[in-house]
Formats: sequence, C-alpha cells, structure tokens
Amino acid sequence: MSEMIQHIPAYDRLRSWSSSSPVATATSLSSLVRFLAQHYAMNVTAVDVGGATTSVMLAGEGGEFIPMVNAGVGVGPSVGAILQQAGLKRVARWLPFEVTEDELRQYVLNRMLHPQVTPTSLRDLQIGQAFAREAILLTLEAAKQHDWFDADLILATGGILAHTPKYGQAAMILLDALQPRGVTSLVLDRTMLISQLGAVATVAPVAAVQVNENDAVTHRLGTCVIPFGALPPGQVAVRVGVEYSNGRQVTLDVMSGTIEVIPLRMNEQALLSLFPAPTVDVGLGPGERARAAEEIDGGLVGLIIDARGRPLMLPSDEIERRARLLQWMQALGA
Amino acid sequence: MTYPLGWSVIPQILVRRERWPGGYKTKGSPLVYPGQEVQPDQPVIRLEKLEPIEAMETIPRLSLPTVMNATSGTDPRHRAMNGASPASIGETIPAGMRGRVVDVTRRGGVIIESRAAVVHGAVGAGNQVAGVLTLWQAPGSGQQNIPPGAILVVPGPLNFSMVRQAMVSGVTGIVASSISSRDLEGFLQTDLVRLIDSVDIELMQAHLPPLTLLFTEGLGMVAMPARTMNLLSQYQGSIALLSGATSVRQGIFPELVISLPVKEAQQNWHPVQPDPLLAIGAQVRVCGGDHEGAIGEVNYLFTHQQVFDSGVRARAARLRLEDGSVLVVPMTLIERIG
Repeated sequence: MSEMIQHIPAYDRLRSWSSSSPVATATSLSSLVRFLAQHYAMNVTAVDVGGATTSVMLAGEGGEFIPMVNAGVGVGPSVGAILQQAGLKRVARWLPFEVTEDELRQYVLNRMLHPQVTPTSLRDLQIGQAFAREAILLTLEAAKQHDWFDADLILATGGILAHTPKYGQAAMILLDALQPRGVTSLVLDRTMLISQLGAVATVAPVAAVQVNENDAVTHRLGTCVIPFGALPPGQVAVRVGVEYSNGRQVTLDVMSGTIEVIPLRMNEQALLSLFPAPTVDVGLGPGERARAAEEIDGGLVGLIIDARGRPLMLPSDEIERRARLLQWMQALGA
Repeated sequence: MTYPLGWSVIPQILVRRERWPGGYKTKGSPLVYPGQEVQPDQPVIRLEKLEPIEAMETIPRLSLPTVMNATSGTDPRHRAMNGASPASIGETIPAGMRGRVVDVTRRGGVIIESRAAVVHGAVGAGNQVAGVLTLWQAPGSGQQNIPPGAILVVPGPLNFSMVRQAMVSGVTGIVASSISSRDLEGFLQTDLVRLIDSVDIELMQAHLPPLTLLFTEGLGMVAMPARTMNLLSQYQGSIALLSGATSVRQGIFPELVISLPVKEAQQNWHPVQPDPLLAIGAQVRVCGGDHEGAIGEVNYLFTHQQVFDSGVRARAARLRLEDGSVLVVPMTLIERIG
C-alpha cells in the first residue's frame, strides 16, 4: 500500500506539506479500530462505505485483527462494481418498492458519471442505501475464511452512512448487512473523523483520543439485541424487560420476524433482562435467560430488538418482502 | 461532474490535443514535425500496423459493405476525413484541427495546439475521428445530403434505429443530446457500466461499432441546450475532431474540438478562463433529479442547509431557470456551464 501511494500524482508535493508520511485511509482506520478494541476491552467492528472503497475491520480485545478493504467497490464512482459483482436481484431485494432493471442500471450509470449528486428523492436515497448494503456484504464475503467473532461495538463511517437523513436508516443498513448476533452497540461517525484519527495519532496521540471521545463517536444509535438460533415462526422469540433509572418498567414480547424499538434516549440508561424462547439464543445458549450486570446505554434510535433471525432471510414473495421491509423500516423510524 | 476544462461548452480556448485515431496495438508514423503549422484536412499520421478487429457477429453483414462503399464518396474532402473505420496499413490520418504541432508521441501520435471551441459530453463511445460538422435536418424539411465521413449534429435525443441508420449511411460520428442506456447498449453491444468503468479504454473500445458518439446531456431523453446548439450551428461545415472515449476511472470524457476559423482566431480571439465556482450569477446545469438537464442562473445561495424530499440536508442554491421558473436544488446537483 505504501508503495502504491507514492505513485499517486502530486504525491511528492503532498509529502512536502507534512513532517510525517501520508497514510492510507484504511491504515488510519485500522489503527483507530485496534486502539478502541484494546482501550475499551471489547470487540469492535468498523464499517466505512465510501465512494470508491468499502472497508470492514474487526478488532478483538485480545489483539485479534481482521481487516478487509474492498478497493474499487463503493457507492460513488465505483457503484458499477457492485452491480457487476452482486447483480441486480441482490440490490433490488432491499427495496420496498418495485424497480425495473432499467431504472437500477440508469441509477448506476448516472451515479458513475455524477458521483457527487445528492439524492433528492426518497426513491434514489433508498436505492443508494441498497447498494451500500451490498457493498458491505461483498466485502464480508471476502472474509469468510476467517474466524469471525461477534462485535460488542459497531462503528460506522463513510458518507452514505454518516449522512443518512434518519438514524434508523443507518441502523437498518448495518443490521441488514453485518447481521450481528447477541448484544451489540451501534455508533455512527457523523463527522467522518475516525478515518483520519489513526493518522493524527501518529503525531498527536492524545489529541486523537480526545477528538475521538468528544467529537467522532458521539452519535450512538443504541444498543441492539439480536436473538439467533431457531426462532419459532409466528411466536414470541424473546421477552424483553427494561427497568429505567427512575424505576419505570417496560416488558415487551418480540415476535419472530420483527424489529421492535424500545424508547431509550441518549444519556439514558436502563437494566435489561432477556427471556428467549427455548430454541432462541441471546448469547448465553439456547433458552438461557440473560440479565445485564450493568445498565445499558440508550441512543438516537433506542433499544433495538432485531428478531428477524440469523442469517437474515427475506421473503421470496415480492409483495410480502416489500411489506416486511416497510414494517421493519417503520419500526426503526427509517 | 467537473468537466476537464471546467465547463461543458467553451467558445474559445487554447488546447493541446494528441491526434491519434485509437485502435488497440495501432502504430503510426508522423508526417509532420514540431513547430509545423497544419490544417484540419492535412494528413499528419501514416498508420503502420493495425491489429485486426474481430467482426461483430451481432451487426448484420449487410451494413458492413454499405459502410465500406460510403468511403468511396465523390467528395475528396469527405473521403479524407473518413479515418480508420476500419483503417488499413498505409492510410493517412488528417489533423482534424488547425494549429501548430508541438510534439510527437512514442506511438506516432501528433500533439497539436489549436485555438478552438470545445464541447464536452457527459458520456460517449468510440475512437477519435475527424469530420465535417453537419447539422441534422428534421424529416420533412427537404432531403438532406449527409456526406459520408461527416460528424452529424442532432439537437435531440437519439434512439437505436437512428444510430444504426447513421452508421449505415457512412457518418463517422454523431453529436447528440442524449440517448437511453438501453438503446446505447443495444447499439454498442456491450455492457455500458463495464465500458465506462474500464481502466483500459482503448482495449474496451476495440470491439465497438465504427461510429463515434458524444452525448452532451448524457443518458435519458434530454434535449440539447440552446447555447450548445447555437455554437455547433455557428461552425456547421467546419472540420472538427471528435472523441467518444469515456472512462470514469481514468477521468476521460467525450469531447468535440472545433478549430476556430483563421479570421476569428486572429482578430476576434478572446479566450475564456472557465471558472467552475458556483456563485451568484453563474450559469449552471442541473445534472440529476427530476429537473435533470435544466439550465438556469444561480440567484441565491442559502446560508443554512435545506431539507429535500429524500430527507437529506444539503447546501443549496436557488436557480432561475430559462423558462422563468424558480428551483431550489442541492449544490451538488448543479454544474457550472458559463
């Protein structure tokens, strides 16, 4: 990578502007992800969906690190690569409306020719977000040979994620594409700073940490509970109990195949109890109840219960699929 | 999209362009030397070697003999303009521009500096060709004699049958406003996404039909703006250099270069310095959304981000369109054209 950077036009002039060497974005992001994993003693997954490149990096608290950088796959000038590798059907499956092959190809061609264009219609926005899902999935497919472990924290950056009009849209993209299991937290890098902080840390590590904690990772979407295993169709997958700091209690039965959001705002905390169905696992084994030892944090979306099952299977019937997608989007406020 | 020279239409600018007919594994030898003044119809390259182009199975064989016959039209100027389509060893390539030779490239191309008008396209296909600009006349306005080897200018959208008809008639290139992606792919017989995403555009273009295309507005059914049409009409009958190559990875976009007449280049030379900055008074084109193709003038720049139907918040500008209506669009949706 460092050899490739040196062949970029005007690299010498860029190099003269700084006392330290320019760092590739992926290298910078990887530094930060590994730092977060070790500093907070948790497994961290970082997702960066850019115009020309998609990166997914997984760092474990024990020092494990799996970086995947899919250069040439992105939602801007490189959106054509997604179409060529994933195909129209895979992209269209994420859309809650009927779309023709011509419309998707037209979108791709216009996006390649005008990558800077901001979507002004909800339709174009959702098409772009569908491509973002497939960009992440294509990147993850390359990592199948690695031993993947569940993340405690999912950190998202890149223009299409950072600039989603609704936080629920970003949450849904991450849940659909990464398909995490168990309990995890979603954080959105609205400022798009985390990709730079690794490079900043090479010259000002304290500043990088301060910016990270005060500016970069401040948009917490919420805690997610994703039960997995054999979810009984049409039945309760998990009963969720929430006890707020003020003593108020909420209990919710979450049906298989649904998404529910329990209000839990930013800076709000609550105690969480999970009572899964006998064949359902929330991280401690099938049917095992779970009660969090510490309070969980709220977020801009809330406490998200994703009981759609893992792996996520979309209905094969077109009408049912679109209806389900709309239901899930409405549940998340997307 | 930022055009290579800043604007999509530039009435007067000094450019340097390599005259090279394209073609994979083609070599040529220059017939001119640096410092020499050349005319548009003057041969500047002799082709030495050409890799045979595979016959395209999907083009009816009937069209090929017609194209070959068209090269032997009566007008010697048009014959000379009809370059490598398909070219053969020993064929000479005309300059296509009036100007001064500044360099010769390793592959045998000739770099010519010229005072010219330039029209950039949003998308196109095909190798560099030279031809006489010929404005297309609508049916019913009298029989139009389109000379073989001409570059046809069509002010509106094209469709598949029109493009095929043009190729059969011996036209060497077309400048039109737009075309549907389906029709363009049907004519090129290639995946357009793969074509414009390629890193080796010459290899990708090696199997395309021998007709160079430039679409000023891109894909869809958008008409050509009046300012573009007026400029092209002004130079009807002039020899122009057309390149259709489009590669988003390499930042290559289709281009039409029209060398200015001698009198205009010498006595009325006011070169434009294209400024892509979006400011009050800038003439812009909407390059996406429901009003794609609309031309207008920026009359207000919002201080705060505006919210659009998609829910996206973005910096925005208010435009007064050519029809007098007012439109608020994200700044990323407009490109300066004047």
